This record gives sequence, C-alpha cells and structure tokens, in this order.
Amino acid sequence: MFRSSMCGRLLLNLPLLLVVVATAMMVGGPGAVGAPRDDQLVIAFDKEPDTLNPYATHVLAAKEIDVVEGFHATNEKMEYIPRVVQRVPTVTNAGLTITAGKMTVTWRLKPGLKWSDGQPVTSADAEFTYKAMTDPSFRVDSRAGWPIIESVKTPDPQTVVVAFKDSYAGYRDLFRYLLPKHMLEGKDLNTYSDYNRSPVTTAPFSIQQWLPGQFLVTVANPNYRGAAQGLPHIKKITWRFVPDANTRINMLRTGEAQVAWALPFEQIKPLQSAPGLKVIVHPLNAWMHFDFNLRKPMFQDVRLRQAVAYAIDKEAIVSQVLGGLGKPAGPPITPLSWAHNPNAYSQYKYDLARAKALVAEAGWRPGSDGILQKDGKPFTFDNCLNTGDATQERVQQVIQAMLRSIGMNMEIRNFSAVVYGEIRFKGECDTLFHRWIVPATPVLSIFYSADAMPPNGLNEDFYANAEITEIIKEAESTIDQPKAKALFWRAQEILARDLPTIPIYYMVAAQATTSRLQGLVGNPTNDGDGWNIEEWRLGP
Amino acid sequence: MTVYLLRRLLGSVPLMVGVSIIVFGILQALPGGPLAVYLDNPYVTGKDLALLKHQFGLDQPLHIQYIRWFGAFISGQWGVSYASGEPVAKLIAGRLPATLLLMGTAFLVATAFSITTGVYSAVRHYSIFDYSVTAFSFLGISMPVFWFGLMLQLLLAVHFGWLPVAGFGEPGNWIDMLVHLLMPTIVLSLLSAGRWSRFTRAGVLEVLSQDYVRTARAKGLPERAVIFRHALRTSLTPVVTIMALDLAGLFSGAVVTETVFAWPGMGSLLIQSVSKVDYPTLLAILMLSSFAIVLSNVLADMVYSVLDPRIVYR
Amino acid sequence: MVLLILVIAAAAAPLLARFAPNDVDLRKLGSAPSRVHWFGTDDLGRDEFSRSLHAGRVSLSIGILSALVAAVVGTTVGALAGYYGGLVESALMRLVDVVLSVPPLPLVIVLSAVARSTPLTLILIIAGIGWMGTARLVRSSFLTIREGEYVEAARAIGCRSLRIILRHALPNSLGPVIVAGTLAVGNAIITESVLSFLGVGVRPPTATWGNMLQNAQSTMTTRPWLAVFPGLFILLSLLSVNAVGDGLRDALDVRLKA
Repeated sequence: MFRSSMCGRLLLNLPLLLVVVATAMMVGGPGAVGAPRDDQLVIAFDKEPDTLNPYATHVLAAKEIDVVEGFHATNEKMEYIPRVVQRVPTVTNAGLTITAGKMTVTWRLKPGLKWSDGQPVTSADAEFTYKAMTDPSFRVDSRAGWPIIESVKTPDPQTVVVAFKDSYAGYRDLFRYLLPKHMLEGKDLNTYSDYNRSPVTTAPFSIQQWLPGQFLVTVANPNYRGAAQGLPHIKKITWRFVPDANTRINMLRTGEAQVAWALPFEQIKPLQSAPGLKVIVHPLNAWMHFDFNLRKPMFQDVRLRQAVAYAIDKEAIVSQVLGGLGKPAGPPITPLSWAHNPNAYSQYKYDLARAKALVAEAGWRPGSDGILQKDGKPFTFDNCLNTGDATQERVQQVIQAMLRSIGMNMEIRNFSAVVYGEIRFKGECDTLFHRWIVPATPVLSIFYSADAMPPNGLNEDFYANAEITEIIKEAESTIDQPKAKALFWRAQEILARDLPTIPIYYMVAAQATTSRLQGLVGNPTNDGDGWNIEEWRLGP
Repeated sequence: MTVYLLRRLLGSVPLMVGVSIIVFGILQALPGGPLAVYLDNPYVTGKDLALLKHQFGLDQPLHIQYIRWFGAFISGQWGVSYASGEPVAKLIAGRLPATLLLMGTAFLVATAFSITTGVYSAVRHYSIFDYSVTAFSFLGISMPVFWFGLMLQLLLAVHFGWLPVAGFGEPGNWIDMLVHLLMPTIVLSLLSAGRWSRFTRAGVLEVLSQDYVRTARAKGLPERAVIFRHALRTSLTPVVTIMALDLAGLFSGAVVTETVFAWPGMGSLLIQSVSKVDYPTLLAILMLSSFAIVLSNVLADMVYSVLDPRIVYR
Repeated sequence: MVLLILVIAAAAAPLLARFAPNDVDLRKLGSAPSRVHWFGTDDLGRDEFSRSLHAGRVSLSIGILSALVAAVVGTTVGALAGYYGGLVESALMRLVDVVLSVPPLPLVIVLSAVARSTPLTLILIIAGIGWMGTARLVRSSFLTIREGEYVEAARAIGCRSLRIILRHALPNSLGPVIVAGTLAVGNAIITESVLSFLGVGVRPPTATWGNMLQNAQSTMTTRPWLAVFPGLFILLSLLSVNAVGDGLRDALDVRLKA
C-alpha cells in the first residue's frame, strides 16, 4: 500500500519535471543571452564596479570597461598617449616649462570634442575637475599629485595651463579623467547616482544599462571623436559580472561569452590548445616580493637577509611553479620601465652553500631538528600574504620549503584581504609576500622613503635610509629622463645592498577570448586591458 | 495560539536589540574598518584618513555611533553605501528578490525530496533504497558546493549544451529566468536535501517504535495511515528544527551558489561589502539575515504545535 | 570497519607513506597517479598519497572531536532547557537564539585576527558555531517527551529530575542527536576547509582533507585527482561515521529490535 503511494508521488512529479526541462530546452539554451553578432560582444567580467566615478572607485572595473577618460592614458608599452588633448606635453614640444624650480604645463584640447550628451568639452571641465579633486568633501581613492598644483588657468576654451609649486614627473598621471562640469556642478559627487551609475563621457562607449549583480551594457558613444572613422568597431558590449573564474571559462566554452576576463594561471596552458579560443598573455608592471619588517629583531643582520636572497631559487619558481609565465625578478622596477636597472640584484644567484655560510657567519647553527639556533632560540618567523590567489599561495609554500633547506623555519600566516591590509599596515608580520602594481612613471618613494612608513605611505619594510630617501626624491622630481635614470639606477643598487625587499618575480596577466576577437593586447598598468577597446573587432 | 505568537514576536524585540549590539560590535572589532580599502592606495595620507573618518562619523565614541545607527536603522534610514554612494535600501531591494527566489525554490525542492526519501528509507530501513539514499545524502553533504556546481556546469552546459552556464537570464523573460534557475536550485537544494533526509529518516525510525504507533497499528489501521497520520507528524519536529536552523546555512550555501552561477542575489552584495567593509550595507544585510533567522525560529515553534498536538504553548 | 581502516591508516601514516608529506619536489609538479606516487603529486610535487594519509590524522581528529564537543554542550543545554521549561528554558533558548542569529562569517573573520590557530582552537571554534543546533534539537525532542507518559510516570513515583533526564528523557532524544553528531563530523571537516581559505584554518604546509580540496579548486579541470582523493576520503569517512552512528542508535534503542 505504502509502496504504491510512494511510486505514485514520484510519477506525479516526474512529468512536471520533464515539462520544465523541455520548456527550458526549447526556449532557452545557451546563446539565448547575447547571441554572437559581428558588432556585439559579451564579456564574462570578474568583478562589478562600485561606482563609475573614476576618481571615487576602489575597483579597477570602471577603468577597464573604458567608459571614462581624460587627458592621457598609457599603452601596452607604457608610453603616454593623448586622449582628449592634442599631444602629451613635454619639454621638447614646449608644452612644459620650468622656471626657478617651478613647472608649468600647457594642455590643448582636441577641437570639436563633445560629451556623449552633445555638450561641448571645454577647458572649464578641466578646471572643474581640479576643483573637485581639491575639495576635501569629495571622497576620492587618491589625491596623489593634486596638492602640488598651484593654479589652473583657462585662457580660452581649448587651453588649460597648470602651474605647479614644484617640479613633478608624475604630471601626466593628473587629469587622467575629465569630469563633466555641466552635469556635476553643484552636485554631491559622493552620492550623485545619475553620474556615478551612468557617466556622461568622451570615451568610445557610454552606459546603456546597469543591472546590479548581473551586467552592464555599454554602447558606442555617437559623439565619440572617432565616430566618423567608424570607431568603435564593436557597437555593443555586455559586461556580465561573473566572480568565479571556472564559470567564466565555461561561459567562453559554450559561447555565452566571447571573452573570459582575468584568466587564472592554471587555466592558461589548457585553454591555449582549445579549438576556437586563444589566450593573450601580457606582462604587467607588477612584481611579487618578499619583504622584511625591519622593526622586528629577526632580520636586523643584513647577512640573514642576503642568505634568504641566495636560498630562494627564483628561476625554479618561475619555470616550474609558474610554468614560465613570469620572469625571475631583479630590482623593484620592472623591465618594462626605462628606469629598470638590470645590474641591481644580479649578485643574488641561487647559491645554497653561500646562504648557509652567511647564516653561519651571523652566528646561527643548525639544531638537532635541522632548524637553526642561536642562544637556544630557534630561527622561526612568520610570513603573511593576502589569501585568495592560489598561485601566490603555492609560491609562498615553495619559498617556505626553500628556506627550510637552510634551516629557517618560516610559518605561514595568511589573512583575508581586509584583515591583511590592517595587519600589514601595523607591521605585525616579520616578513610579507606581497604584490605591487605601479603606474608607468617610475616610483620608489612610497615604498622605500624613510618618510613613507605607514600611515604616511607603503614603506612596510620600515626601512629607514636617509641617503636613498634623498636620491629617490630627486629622481622623482627630475623631468630630464637620462638624469632621472641615473638617480633611479643608484637607488636600485642601494636597495640591492641593504635588501629591505627581495623581488621574486615580475608578473604577467592573461585574457582568454574567442579566436575571432582581434585587437585585445592588454595593458601592463592599472589602465586596464580595455584601454584600446575602440580598436577591437570580431573577425570571421 | 495567537497570543503566544504575539508574545514570541514581542519577545524577539529585545533579542533583535541584543543581536544588533553583537553585530555592531563584531563589525567594530573587524581589523581594518571601512577605511581599509583606502589603505592599499600608496598615496593616501594620515590626514586624508582622518578626514574620511570624520566624514563617516567614525571619530565619534562607539556608543554614540551605535545609537545613531540603530535609531536611524529602525526608522528605515539605512544610510548610504560607503562604497558606491547608493542608498543601502535600494541596493538590497535590488538583490533580495533573486535570493528569495533561489532559496525558496531550493527549500521547496529539498523539503519535498528529503521528506519522501526520508520516510521511505525509514520504513524500509536497511533496504537497498535506504542504502542508496544514505549514500546519496552523504555525497550531497561531503560535496563542496562550488565543486558540484562546476561539475554540473561542465556536464549540462559545456558538454550537452542543455542549459546556460550562468546568469539570471534576459530581463523580463520569465522562462529564460527559470532556465537559468534550474542548475543553481539543484546545487543549493542538494546541500540541504541530504541532511534533512537523514533527519527525517531518524525521526520516523524513532517514532515508529513509540507506543502510540504500535497502538495505531494494533487498531488495524492501514500502514499508510499510521505513517502519515501518526508517525510522520511527530517525527517531523526535529526536522522542522533543523530546517529553521539550516536557514542560515542555506544562506551561506546561497552565497557560494550565487558566486558560482553569477546569480544576482544578496550573496554577491555581501561578498562585495565584506571586501570593502562597507558598514552601512553590511549592517543592513546582517540585521536582515538575523531577523530572518529569528522569524524562522518562531515559525518553527508554531509548526511544532501543529505537528504534535501534545506540545502546548502557554 | 571502513572507519577503523581510515583511522589506522591515518595513525600509521608515517609508516605507510614512502614520501614525507611536505617535501616539495619541483621536478615532479602535478604528475598523474603512478606506481611511485600512487595518488600522483600535487602542484608542488608533493606526494598526494602521503599527504592524504597525514591529512586524515588532522581532519579526522578535528572532525570527531569538534562534533563531540558540540554534541555534549548542545545536549546539555538542550536537555536542561527542555526538561525544566519556564524561566530556565527561556534564558537558555534566548542565549541559543542570540548566538544563532549572528551570522558566523564575520565572527570567524574577527577570530582570525585575534586567535593563533592551532588544531585545538579550531576544534573549539568549529564546535562553538555548531552546538546550537543540537541544543535546539534536544530541546524540541524534550518538548515532546516531557509530556510523555513515562516521564510523568517517573515523576509520579518521585524520581529526582536529574535522574529523569539521564535515565528516561535523554535516551529518547538520542536518535536525532546522533544523526546531528555524525553529520557534524562531515560539516567540521568541510568547515575547516573554509577556515583555511579565510586564513584561520590549519596552516600550510600541514595538509588536511579540507584544505587539499580547497586548493584543488583552481586545478579542477587539469589535475582532477588532486580533488578526487581527498573528496573520496571525506565521503568514505562520513559514510563510515554514519554507519557507526546508526549502529549506536540501534544499540541504544532496544525497542527498535522488537
């Protein structure tokens, strides 16, 4: 009796289930959303913007989607290229003059520019941007460089003249985004949704629709300066927010998306051989580094820091753990930069015997368990990393094993991003394994100047050296590149000598796309891989 | 009954106040705080941070901050997200329906599955059916949500091409949305179905040996009537308890499921606001989920007395 | 039986495994199962078989002990509340309510910042977020049993309350408790992997089934064996713990045999 009733129930449910599945297959199925067309693209994007206000956002998304722009950007070779201005001002083209140590830069806007709502773009927008960025009530991600500006003058609607209090090599990173005065004047920039969710722009694309948690649709901006030349080639892009990397790849495989953004390392090799797909791997202006906290007693002796440098086999890490995707690192300025000194750090070739000798010189002897000891104290220290990146965690464990082979006991203490930031800032870890990504203009001061210790900067090594602080300061305010280069080279040599930090590898990033997509080349900096999106096209 | 319900709900008020203090306290104890997102920026100075602190009102004494927030919260002023500058109520209203839909369907599917299989394997315990349900339940419990979700994607979407990989479907297209709902529902319900099935089985087994069931059997009632009219009702009490309890777990499961299937619910909002320590949004989400838990527990207690007439609330 | 084998294998891990669990071998990254490395090697060239066994020691002890702690605490609280009713019940259940109503994720993050994780603190943390369920469960069973004839009878003949709880009421609610306990073992093993992910779990390089599974997520399609073996171990141990649970319940419940 009971048995038959159970079967009845299951049978009752079965047809219902079948109907649902059948309807599903008839109506939906893959490709129902964003069927591939030559001028349309669906991108499985790894994140969702918080706000599209380019100065307020803490997420790279707004920049990657490329719906905001300003005076300049940097390209795949980290060269500055003009956007709404006619050319990048330099000393050579007389756009930049220095008198009595003070710098004046003149920018000229391209003629006939219009915002996406049809209003003209004028120098008043630049002046407004300056005022917004120096208004303390506007909560921006960073005000770097803006306080150095003395005044912004607009002699005519096309010309912006900026006078600086000092000479400042980072001037090209100012006005990276232009704010539309006619839309924003008198508004609270922190909460003004009309702009924050759908900015008026001069970029190739503007926002059509943003459904929170789902997707953001951008369409070709009819007033884009390249519209007459048919730019952008692709007319509509759907950026779907897909936080899980495996899901993004599955979407690429089924054709639900044509691009899987931010490909994890492990997936590069398998996807390279997948039919109909391609993987674009490009270098980043970023590096992973092993940092010593010099406020802690453990690594005060430079010989111990050198021993660590000799004991870490960077070549093996890159070729084995990273599968060749990356480069063994030298100094903390990547080879992409003109300031990179290839000689600095070249002395630290993998050499276990040397490492062991240095440790012994510093007075540490292996105990019965193989761990170094001095005055009865074991050589134990902790190393902190932000959790979440499988590759970085793997390299960290390899470093742990490598240091163990010279008798150092490195304990891994990783934290989730939020906690990690605070712990790092307070200097609670003996050592860090950390990533920096920096803009095209070389910068060392925020990491290694004595006056840049938290909370005034990111000198988390708590490395204090008056000499290098001076050199870096001068290097970063020197506009003349050969002169600046000599100073940066010297600074990198000092870092290699004092060894507050050991760069481990220079990083790469990867995107996977359908093999039909052309034009995506990537960008080493935080300008993001969408920087040349107007040139992308879908081939046959 | 109604009086009891009202009393319970009234009793929940101090509970919610207690919870709000704990939730607020936990967030305060979080290292980093809402300014942590600014810390990773090399150019933010101590002065900038102090200014931000003042703008967010974080320089006030804790109890003042709490009273301000709680007062505003209960009067419906949930504030503005630190991260996006959008009103929190609007952010949540945009995400709640998707989560409720997913959790609701998963709850129904899991309940239907677990009660049928649970009862059947109790009645025929140590049968092949029982063993396979047991194995299946444990497969469900021991399989991490992300793993099962990705496997389903590979099988049903990539290999067979029957279902879309992820997303919420085209806006306004109900059928497309249901199609997209299918896989996440299977994944999320499996998580609970296995557990609940085990509890139903155990509960029914327990009750089947009770005197009144034997009496019912002795009276010559058909087995089906014994089970459904007598045994099942009583044996469901612990199951209902577990279901109410699992609501929090179901929500955690939903967070992962939503991540894997890019489902636009509260889960992704929670993850985003945790990563930015967006106090107003976090507080609202945590308070809402706490409230849901409290409510579900009151409901569970009500259901007890419906299921088992011997339980009387005074 | 299977459980016994698992426990013995885990306990005897150093004898059974040919490789040390944490030896990194960069020449043998991610090799598939072979005669030398029975379960293959992981993404750092470590022997998966050896890691699986060593991980079993940690995972099984965390799982079983935390489930036990949670069950004992939960049963005590639930039994007291369910038996006495009234004020005691209200107070205890409100406590349970408050703890239950606080979402565990931020709680765990806070703990991660303050506590240095050792297996012992992990057991306490996992038990700490898991005992309330059992308490509820026991109490709701007690609600049913409280009015049952045998408890009334026991009261009528003047049994003291503790005796009634221990001898009469408790055994009657053991069924769900044991199920909850067996499920909690699995939950604890999985929770540990989440904690590892948050940085509060067992620290690398020490392996647990949970963190092995967690790490395998990124190489799921390329090196599936890295997820299959720890997953299989978790499943096997759950099934066997459950079998033990069923056996226990049947042994305790004489009437079932009738």
